[in-house]
Amino acid sequence: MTKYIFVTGGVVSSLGKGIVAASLGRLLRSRGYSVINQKFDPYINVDPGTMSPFQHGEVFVTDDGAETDLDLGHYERFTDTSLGKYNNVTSGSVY
Amino acid sequence: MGATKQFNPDFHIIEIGGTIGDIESLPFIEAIRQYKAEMGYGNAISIHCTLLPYLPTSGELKTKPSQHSVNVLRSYGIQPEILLCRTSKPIPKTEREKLALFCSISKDAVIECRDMKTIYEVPLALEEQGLCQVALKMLGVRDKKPDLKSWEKLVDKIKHPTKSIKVGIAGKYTKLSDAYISVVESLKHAGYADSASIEIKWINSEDCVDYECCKKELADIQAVVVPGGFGVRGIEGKLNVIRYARENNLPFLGLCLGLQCTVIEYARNVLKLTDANSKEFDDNPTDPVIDMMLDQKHIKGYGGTMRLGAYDCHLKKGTVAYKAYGKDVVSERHRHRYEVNFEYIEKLSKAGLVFSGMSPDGMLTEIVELPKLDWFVACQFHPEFKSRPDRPHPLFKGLVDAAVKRLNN
Repeated sequence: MTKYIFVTGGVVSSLGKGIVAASLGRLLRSRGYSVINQKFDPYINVDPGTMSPFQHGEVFVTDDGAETDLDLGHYERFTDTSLGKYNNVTSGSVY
Repeated sequence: MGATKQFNPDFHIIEIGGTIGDIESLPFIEAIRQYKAEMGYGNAISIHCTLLPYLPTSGELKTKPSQHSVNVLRSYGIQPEILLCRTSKPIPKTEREKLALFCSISKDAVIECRDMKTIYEVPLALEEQGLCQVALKMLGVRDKKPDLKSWEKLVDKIKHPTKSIKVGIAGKYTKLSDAYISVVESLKHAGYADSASIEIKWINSEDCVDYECCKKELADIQAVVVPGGFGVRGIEGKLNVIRYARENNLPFLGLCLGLQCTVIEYARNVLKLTDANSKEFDDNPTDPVIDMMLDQKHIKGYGGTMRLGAYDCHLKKGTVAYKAYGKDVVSERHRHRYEVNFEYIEKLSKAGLVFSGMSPDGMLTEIVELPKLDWFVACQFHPEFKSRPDRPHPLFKGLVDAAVKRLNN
């Protein structure tokens, strides 16, 4: 059965939660376990494609053509995987 | 949670964007609470990341903001199992105990995360702190010995460079380095392979509109990247940067809009089509060397409507790009609405610009290069998304290799 690990952040933003989540992914993988890294983003836009890079940073594009949060870039680089549209969920895509 | 059903992994790590206390993330926080309650103890845990600010006047790491933050999280019905503290100094035993007591977290689950020289050191530091062990114990999963040898080797290489090169990134969003984070990381990855540390010089393309200023900006660097972007602002500056790189054999890599600017610059200054431009910047130029892709012309809105994601690119044998990749067909990620106007390819080729990568149907330009220069390559796609710390992307590797060569000369 799949086990869930949620990562939240407090006190200030830009704490590097993404790097922590990516690092944990790496550590579990290096033990031979399979891992999915996913990011939930609480903004109303369906994707960050049209948000200003000044506010949001880079738009990371996946193989399946999703415009996603830059943390997915960390996930891919740390865990050496190829992610897709399922790996980034936004409020805008839920409602 | 659809992803779990589809892939059925051993672990599903879910990061919630934003900061606890913001109203935007509340629905997601409530979802976590419900999920943890449904899954039952030992099947789902949460890690809360906080900051321990250091007060130089009292010489202390302060734990109160972390305590408050955990309190807020508790008020939403979530008791975190692990507290991960970002800090600039080691956490003393007393502060660790205080955090454990007031946040109701076991002492071994208060994990210190110090500022690192490189982000790639973080997994090793967290392993040393026992993060994975603690998480596995809480989830009732057997711990195994991790194989981190190659990662340790990589970090050792990162921390001991033998040379340093300066690479310029000429773009519009240079005040926020996060806007080009994958480009920066890709440059660093290529540097690791050459034992070179990369210093980034941010060049605001608007400061390069005057060619003399542009020359000064580029004088002290060993390579330059013109990354992707949209819109007309700073374009003339980017064209100047590319012209300087071409005329002075400064190693150059153009990405996406960087390729389109490369073609415009070549058309204007080599083919002498002085009014050559992209239809993105000029509705009716005499020579529209960059035009909207045919299947994009009927689309009115923005957002999710571009040519997006992985597409194949066929490489021409014997070219610089072909040698870099070492294969005939590569898959790269795209995000664009405009392309090189097919009608100008013959003229540009005759004038010396080599079209070394094309879409499988041969219609869409993917890579152009000037093989006589040390490294002058531009691509329509975004190679920066596929670079890995231990496996740099061939096009970034080529650029950095040429920069190292330039440094040695």
